[in-house]
Amino acid sequence: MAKERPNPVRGVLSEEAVVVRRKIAAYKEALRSLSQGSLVEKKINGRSYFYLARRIKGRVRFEYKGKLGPGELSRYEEAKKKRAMYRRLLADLNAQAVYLKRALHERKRRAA
Amino acid sequence: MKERDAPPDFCMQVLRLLHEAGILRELVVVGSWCSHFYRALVPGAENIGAIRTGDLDVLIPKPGRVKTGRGIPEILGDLGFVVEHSLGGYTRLVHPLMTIDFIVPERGRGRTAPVKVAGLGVNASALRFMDFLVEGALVFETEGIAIKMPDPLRYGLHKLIISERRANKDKAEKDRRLAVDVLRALVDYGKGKSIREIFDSLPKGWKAGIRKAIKKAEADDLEGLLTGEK
Repeated sequence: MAKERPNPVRGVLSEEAVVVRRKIAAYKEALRSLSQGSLVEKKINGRSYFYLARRIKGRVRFEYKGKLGPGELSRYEEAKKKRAMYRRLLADLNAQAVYLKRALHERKRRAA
Repeated sequence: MKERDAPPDFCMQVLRLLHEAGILRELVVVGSWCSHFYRALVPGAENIGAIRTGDLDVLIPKPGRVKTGRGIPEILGDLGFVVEHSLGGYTRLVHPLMTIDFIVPERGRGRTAPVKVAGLGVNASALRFMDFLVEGALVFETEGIAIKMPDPLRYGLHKLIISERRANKDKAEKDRRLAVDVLRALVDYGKGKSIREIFDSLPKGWKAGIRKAIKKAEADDLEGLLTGEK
């Protein structure tokens, strides 16, 4: 039987598959570390009060936050933007993982 | 050096952010992304490094000297990079399009623990042969950004040296192929004598590693060049 030569293409694909799995874990961790929920503003007698809307066990809950300063507001806004960005990037990674799994599986199937 | 083609957009976005933060001048790009830039620098090297991962390896030649206001993770966080944890304390920045690893030259008896580069907010890994790789580093200017990278002569020889130390055979094969492609392009460009000169200046053990790798790559032309038969 002929000795199989090292294959750099297979090597790169396998390496990428491992890397993508690690990246998915990193993004999930990053998402967990961001503050959850969206701020909802309610105006009462001309004054702004804030509630944090979060989904807990499938139901939306409102947590009273009261008056918030500009610093806190921008922190929530920043977290919201980051959450949207991380979710989008996580979706890209999941698509990459599916592609690589198929590509590597295809090689095995052909080799069999 | 003058640019002949533009590198992929995302890599340039990353380098631009580091440039704007005043950090890029302290860094040397050393990974397989170099091959992309070499395509623009060396005539006849248009096809080298076609197979590569999305890793960007960044060397910090003088980790104690770097000072910056914001750390690299914060700067690149704007592009969506996140820090990958659980790596024994090493900092790795990840993004669907790229992974960034930080390296410092290993000096003395070597160490396995990460090296803290406080000025950049990262923990780097110390690797051998880095001083050899970055000696006489080039500056490639593109889109108003000056990017430091190793001299392709040293890059090719370095890839051959490390290919012999790889445990992963596929990675070693990838290193050998890339090295042979780069060195052949340089020979065609008239740099054969310079390759020989650098090779002759290397320690005995390194030379043996290079010869062994060239033999495995079945690059008889390069073997002839280094043994003086060409």
